[in-house]
Amino acid sequence: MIRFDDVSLTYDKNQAPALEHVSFNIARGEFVFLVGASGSGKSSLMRLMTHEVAPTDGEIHVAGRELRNMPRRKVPSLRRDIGVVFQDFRLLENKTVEENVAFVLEILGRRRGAIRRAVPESLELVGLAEKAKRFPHELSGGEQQRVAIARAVVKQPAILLADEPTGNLDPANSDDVVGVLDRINRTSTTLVMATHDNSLVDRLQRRVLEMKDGRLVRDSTGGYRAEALEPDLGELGTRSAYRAAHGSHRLEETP
Amino acid sequence: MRLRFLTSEVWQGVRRNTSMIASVVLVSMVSLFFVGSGLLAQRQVDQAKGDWYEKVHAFVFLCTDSDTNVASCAGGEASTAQTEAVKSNLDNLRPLVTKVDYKTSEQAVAMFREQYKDSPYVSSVDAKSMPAFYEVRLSDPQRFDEIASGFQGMPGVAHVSNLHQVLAPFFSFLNMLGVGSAIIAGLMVVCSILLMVTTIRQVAFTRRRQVGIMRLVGASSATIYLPFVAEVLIASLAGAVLASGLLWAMVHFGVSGLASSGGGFVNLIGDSDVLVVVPWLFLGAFVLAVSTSWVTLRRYLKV
Ligand SMILES: Nc1ncnc2c1ncn2[C@@H]1O[C@H](COP(=O)(O)OP(=O)(O)OP(=O)(O)O)[C@@H](O)[C@H]1O
Ligand SMILES: [Mg+2]
Repeated sequence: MIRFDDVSLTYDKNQAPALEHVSFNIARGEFVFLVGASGSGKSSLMRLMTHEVAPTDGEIHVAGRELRNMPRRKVPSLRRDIGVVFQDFRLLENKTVEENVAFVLEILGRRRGAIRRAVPESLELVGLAEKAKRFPHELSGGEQQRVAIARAVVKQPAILLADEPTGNLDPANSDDVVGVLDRINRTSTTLVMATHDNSLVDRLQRRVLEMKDGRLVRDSTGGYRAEALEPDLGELGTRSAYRAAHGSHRLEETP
Repeated sequence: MRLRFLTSEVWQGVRRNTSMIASVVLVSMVSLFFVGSGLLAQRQVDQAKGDWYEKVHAFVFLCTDSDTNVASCAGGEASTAQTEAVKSNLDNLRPLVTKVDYKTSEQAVAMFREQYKDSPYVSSVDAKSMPAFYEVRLSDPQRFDEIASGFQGMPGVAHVSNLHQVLAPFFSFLNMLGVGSAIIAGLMVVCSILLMVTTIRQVAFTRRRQVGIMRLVGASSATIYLPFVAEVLIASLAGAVLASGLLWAMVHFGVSGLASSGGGFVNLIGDSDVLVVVPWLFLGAFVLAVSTSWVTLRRYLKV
């Protein structure tokens, strides 16, 4: 679903590259955590996936498309297959919850009937059906993030990218949000989530890609299959138990 | 994006940016008003020149009964012999004179009515006050003086006149007006373009989150640009409506007022000429708004 082959990215010729020789392959329906210190390149990876930036080197395949030579006019169609959620929610303050979600479908020119059906479904999925008429400022942070998730998935993307979606939330709200993401992943949506929250990563026991200074330093693939592993949220597993069950390997750090 | 959604977005956008939209409306109005004034001045020149101006270089007016104060008209209306004499003298001046046409006073009245049918003077003209005349075309219009000196004072000739000399100051005034309007219009169009660019950039900035979402969701660039283009277009078309109103008021009350206060022996432009100019203003507003906003968006709003 998402494949990086030896991808490097340099934003600015005078600066060190943001990403160097990154390769990985994410299969359809996987749930992958992207971890690493601040500035290690997690957001840059996501920006490459949505083609907001083009790689300096290497090949990227997303949802069956090769991104390096993709003409500009094909970019919108790539982005229709990807939903994105950010740390700061980015809701439209002057629109209600349901208008925020409907906005996506309006932009994509969907029919009124289809929008009337899809929006409540999507709000139901994130548990906010009753708050459809509220404005964003009338919601808690966790609820706002769930609206953002509803907005990201209402067009039924094959891939959902979440860049530190719980970064601004307290633990209880974080759990709500991750619970929703997990549910979405079970509808065979490929999910990539960047996070600093190690306890979350440990608890969910999903594949982990660890970045350090623009390099991929760990990929806990170890024969992992998305459907083989379905720990419920809240069922606490330790990292060591997870490793014992599925294996993990450190990638060679190239100098 | 469907029309219903586009309309509601544009309507909200216009409401939230009232002052910016209003400034675009006003600047478009002023610039289009000057564009329109230039066009009208040009039309006035063309209309006033009419058919005669280019073709006929001199008129030799014969005496009528009422020309008693002119010495050469002592005998009253020009006699047939006098008329013939003028004709043969004109023929003798070939090849300077290339064409001579005789018009009886009845023909003259008919022509006058035809030429100046919109003018308030027409009703006051009758066959008696309109002299018979010779239309003379010269191989070299500069040598009009030779005709004037040769025929002024000849028995039966009331006076010799030259449309070019009579109308030249009027035309140069109109041309100045036209050129002046064109210059102001050019400057104002530049102003409107700059203002549109600034407005679009400001509005795009205030809506950066919305634009960012549209972009990430997979909206095509046309979809992202459309609300912006529509808002600027509405504003500049509103400007065109106001400019048309101003032009109409200027022509209806100003120019027509000029005519009724005896503003000259030429056909003046009227309301119908404003109607001819107005569609061009709308076309101009459309092209200006769409091309300016599209280029600005392509430049500043990368998708
Ligand atoms: N638009 C940009 N222009 C120039 N350099 C950039 C840009 N975006 C990111 N960088 C640089 O690229 C590197 C990786 O940044 P990135 O945002 O991908 O890190 P991150 O892992 O998402 O960090 P964080 O956890 O703080 O969000 C950093 O050194 C950063 O300074
Ligand atoms: Mg980041």
